[in-house]
Amino acid sequence: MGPIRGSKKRKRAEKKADSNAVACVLGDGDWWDEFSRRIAGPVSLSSGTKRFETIFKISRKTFNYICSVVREDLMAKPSNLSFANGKVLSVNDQVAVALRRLSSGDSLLNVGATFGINHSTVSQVTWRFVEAMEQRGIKHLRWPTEEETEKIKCKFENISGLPNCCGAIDTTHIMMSLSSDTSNEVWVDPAKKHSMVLQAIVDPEMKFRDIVTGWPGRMNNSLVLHNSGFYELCERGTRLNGKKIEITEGSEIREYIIGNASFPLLPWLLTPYQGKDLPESRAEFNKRHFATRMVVQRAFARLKEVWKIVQGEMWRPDKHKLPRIIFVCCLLHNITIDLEDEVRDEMPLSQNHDSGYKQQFCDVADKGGHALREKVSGYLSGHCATH
Amino acid sequence: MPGSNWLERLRRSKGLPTSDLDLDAFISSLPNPNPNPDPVQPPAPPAKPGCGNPQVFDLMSSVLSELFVMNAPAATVAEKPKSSRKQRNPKLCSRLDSASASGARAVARAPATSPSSAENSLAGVKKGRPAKPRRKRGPASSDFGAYSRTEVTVIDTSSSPGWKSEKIIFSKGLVWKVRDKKLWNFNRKKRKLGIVDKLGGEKEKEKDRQSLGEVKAKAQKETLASLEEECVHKDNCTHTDNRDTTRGTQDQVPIPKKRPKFSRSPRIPAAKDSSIFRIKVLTSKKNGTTSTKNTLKGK
Repeated sequence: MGPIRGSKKRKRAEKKADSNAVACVLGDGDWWDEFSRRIAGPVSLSSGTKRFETIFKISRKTFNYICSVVREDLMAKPSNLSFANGKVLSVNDQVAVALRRLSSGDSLLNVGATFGINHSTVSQVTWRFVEAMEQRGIKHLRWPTEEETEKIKCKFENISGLPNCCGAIDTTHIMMSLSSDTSNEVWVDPAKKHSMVLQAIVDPEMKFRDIVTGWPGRMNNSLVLHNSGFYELCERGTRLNGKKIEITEGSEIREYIIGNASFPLLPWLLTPYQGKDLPESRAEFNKRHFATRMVVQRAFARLKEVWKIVQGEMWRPDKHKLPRIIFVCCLLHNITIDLEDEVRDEMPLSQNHDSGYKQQFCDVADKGGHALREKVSGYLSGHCATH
Repeated sequence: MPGSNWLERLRRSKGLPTSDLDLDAFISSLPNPNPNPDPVQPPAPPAKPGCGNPQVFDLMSSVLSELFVMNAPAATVAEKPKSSRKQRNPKLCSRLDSASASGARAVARAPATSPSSAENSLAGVKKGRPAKPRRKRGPASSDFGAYSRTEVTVIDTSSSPGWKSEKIIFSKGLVWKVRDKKLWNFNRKKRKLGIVDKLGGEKEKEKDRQSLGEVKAKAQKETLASLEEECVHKDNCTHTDNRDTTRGTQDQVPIPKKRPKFSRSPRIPAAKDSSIFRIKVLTSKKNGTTSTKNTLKGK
């Protein structure tokens, strides 16, 4: 009988994993010096201290943290991932390759050429990283605790005075390059492009607090919301059920989030007033509502700007893998905020995340939503009058 | 003679002379003598009151019929209800015929209009059963045939069981239906577990089965309650002004209100307030046979 199929491969992989582990133990002191020497192509032209940030769009500190998050998972799986010269990829190498792929949005071939790796290795490394991140990094994307919520409310009120606001919701489209086959019709969005929807609720620091992704671009905002876990929790009264603020005797404002006119007006989701020639109080509410909502638009714009894989049209992506890639990009976005990465501060703030899309409108309005909006509007006009 | 009356009537009905006829000679002279009429006929005299000594006759007839069962049981048993039913309720029979011809609506009505006797109601249910799934499946399957089916992986960080789930979207024009793919995954998991369990102990096997069943039932309840949403999708989302009315339209999924009528079946208890009833209603919307099975298992 011959050897069991794949046993040689396994042995080789184990051997390489051992050397991989050794490479990691050596530390990353000289890692960048060695790695940067491998870089070829236009990226290699950048020089100086900012070279690392230019390539990966994050600081070295954040990079090291990300490596620590996924190290265990990447080391646990034996692999035969190597450079073209046969050198095994260390954890840092793998993270660097994956981050470059996610941040540049370049094709596998281009990324491979940059680092001297086969394009299939780039694909494997990226996917291993995505799997590790979505397991280990989930703590960076969660609904705030009670204590955190109080801080968020204060910050929102500081932006434009909205009292007891807990977040801003919006939706963006992640482009895909698909064939014009009839089976792909469901992915055709209102702008006649193939896309996947990403819905997010963002805090004042532009950090994603809740995301939903994977739904086809043809689904409108209210439908995506309606099918989300957040909607279910809010309707059940187990979310946005924290402290209320008393504006006048017997009149309270509960916790809520804000969204644009494409969302329904609900007792926990306030949308702007519709129509022209609005009374002053309502116009004032809309103004402040718009200013507060800017955080979510900026967050989307930043996400797409830094993690270009979600901005550029992916060529026939696996529709089951793409949501997980989007999710990991959101995690990375949050990590840079949590670690107060200085690179993000240097980037210009933009709010164009979905250019070419018209504003959707939803006429669904709940009585409770109307009442709460009136209260907030009244509170704001009264508050303005006193100040 | 106790039998003279019925014999005379028989003769009269057949146009034979009532007297001066030797019966044995007459029967033996017939080219094709049929012994069955004799055992079939005895039940007739008790129906007519005023016969002489009916108890003895009943006794004799029952003994005779028991004896004759060995010879021709199918004929006696099968003919009995058929003939009596037709004679007692000829109008009902004609209505049933017309009903079955007119379609499923009338078939569904048949059990309700049938007499109160258990035999008849069961017959009604038996007749109704094959017709009902046909009625149910007909529009449902044709609807899903027209829908385009898309499988998606959805990441939802607020989703309760897990942030990653697989959904199936049925879309047709402006109508969307979302289903959870879990129901299909459970079967696959169960099969896999079954293989693994062969190595494990019997107790663990039972535990797994129980927990799997519980989870399955729970997930089904949750899935079926939360999903099954029919939403009208428009670019500008032109819903009605009132949210409640929108909800109403979304809940306008055909619920089989006639379901309770079939609870007379001996298999299903007629408990209307139990959750079984609720689940059955919901499952019937989706996939009648399989889901119902699972529900009962889960119970």
